Parts: sequence; C-alpha cells; structure tokens
Amino acid sequence: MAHQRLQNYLRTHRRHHSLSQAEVATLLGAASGTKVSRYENFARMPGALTVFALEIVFNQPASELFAGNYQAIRLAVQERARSMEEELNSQPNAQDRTTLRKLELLRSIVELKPSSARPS
Amino acid sequence: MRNQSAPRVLAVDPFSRGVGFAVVEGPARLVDWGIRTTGRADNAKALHVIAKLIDRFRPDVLAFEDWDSDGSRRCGRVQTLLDRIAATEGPRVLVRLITRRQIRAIGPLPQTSTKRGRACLLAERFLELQPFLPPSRKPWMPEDDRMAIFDALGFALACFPKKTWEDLPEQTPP
Repeated sequence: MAHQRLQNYLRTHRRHHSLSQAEVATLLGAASGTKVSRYENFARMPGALTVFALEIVFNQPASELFAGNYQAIRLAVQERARSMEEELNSQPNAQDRTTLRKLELLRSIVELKPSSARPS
Repeated sequence: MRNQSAPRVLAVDPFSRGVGFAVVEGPARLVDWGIRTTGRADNAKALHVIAKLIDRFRPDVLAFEDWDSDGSRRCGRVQTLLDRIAATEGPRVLVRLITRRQIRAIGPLPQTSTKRGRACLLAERFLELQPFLPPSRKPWMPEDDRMAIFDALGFALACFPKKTWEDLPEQTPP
C-alpha cells in the first residue's frame, strides 16, 4: 500500500544536519529564517532557484526534498498524459511517425516510476 | 527500494508540562521529533497540541502508551488524556496502544529495561538525537522533559514488525 508522503522534508534534513533555520536562510541568501520556516510548515512553496539552492545545501534531489509535492505533480502529469495518449490514439493519423514518437513519450510518462526510489 | 510505502507513525508521550512526539516513516527513517510545552498540566491544551501535530504530519498511525496494560504507571490525568486522545482522534487516524512489554522488545535486553537504557540505544541509532539525550538522572532529580522524545520514539518503533535490533536496516539518511 502506497502512503502519501509529506509535502516536503526540509525540516527533517535541516535537523539531521543540526542546522538552524537562520543558518539555512543564510545559505539560501535570505535575510532571516522566516522564509525557511514557511517552507517547512508548508505555508509557502519556494521558487525554482531556491529549490536548486536547497538541492545543493542538502545534497538531495528536489524530488526527494519535496517528495509529497513531487508525488502529487507526477500523478497529475501522468493523468494528463493518459488523456492526451487516448486523444492521439483516436485520431485518424495515429500511425504517423511524429504521432508514434509522441505516443512513445506519453507512454513512458504514464509508466513513470517514482524517481526518488533508491536502494536503502 | 526506499521506504516509499512505509506508513508514517506519529507517537506521542504526554508529560507534566507538555507532549513529547516523534514521527517515523518505517523503522529506519526519523522524520521529526520534539517537545510541545503546554505550560502546565492541561489536558485541553495537550489535546490541541496533538490535533495540530496530526494536521501537520497526517500520520497513518497514532501511537501512544497503553495506559491500561500491566506495569503502566501513568497518573490519573494522563490516563484521562490518553483516553480522550483515543476517543477524539480514533475516527480519523489508526490508533495503536503500545504496552510496556512491546516497548522493552524494541531492542536487546537489559538495555531496554530502563528508560535511560532505551534512550541511549535510540540515540546511538539516530545520531541526530544525541544532543537531546538527557544526563543520567539522580534519585533526587525529576525526569527530564526530553525523555518524552525517546519514549515517543520507542512507541513509534514498537509499531513495526519485530526484528532483532541488529537486523534493523541501517538508519536511512533523511
């Protein structure tokens, strides 16, 4: 049974490394720990540049740091890919080379496994 | 595979001035831990704190001490509180009551027969908990509040199928 993961694990990683919110904020180039607190309490989602910075700080992929968000987005994208695949399959030119290439990509998205899975 | 499907367990241990808690995802992944103080022995505040913890962590299982089991020595107030937690949170999360026998079974005896021994064992396993390990208690000293974190973590680990301490997977970096 798959269990829903937390939106993010920033607090877990920060505490694992004995860092304070202010220290993480300094590493991110933010003025105070308030921003970090908001990210940790799921009150705010960081921008792409901050996500890259967090990846570097904690040496973890974003899909692991933001596991719950990643899980939700993956499911939503897969659902969209599924409906797009059905739509393309129902078109008369479904055997075109370009359509076949698109279908191949869509199928790989639909069958995508969580990328944060790694050997323990 | 990573513990993608490991249930999230929130364990709580109320004490005289608040609630200690620990959150794990599987026996090797410690997600969060800490103490929420209520200022004084106040069941309503403690219930509120626990409800907030459940809202934040959305656990699959809520674990705490089985106050009715053999050897449990919780005071009347805490017994009432645990009773109320089971009644109020039971409908929205699976509640598991952990007996003292189950707590002792989380690691090798005789270390696990005392709170201090269990806390040392857990601090060895989860290195991030070492700064929270209270000093040895003398007979005239009251129990350190931080001991509630280790008690709560013990309840959380007792929810997972029994393995020997050595067989448990290495702690997964968060």
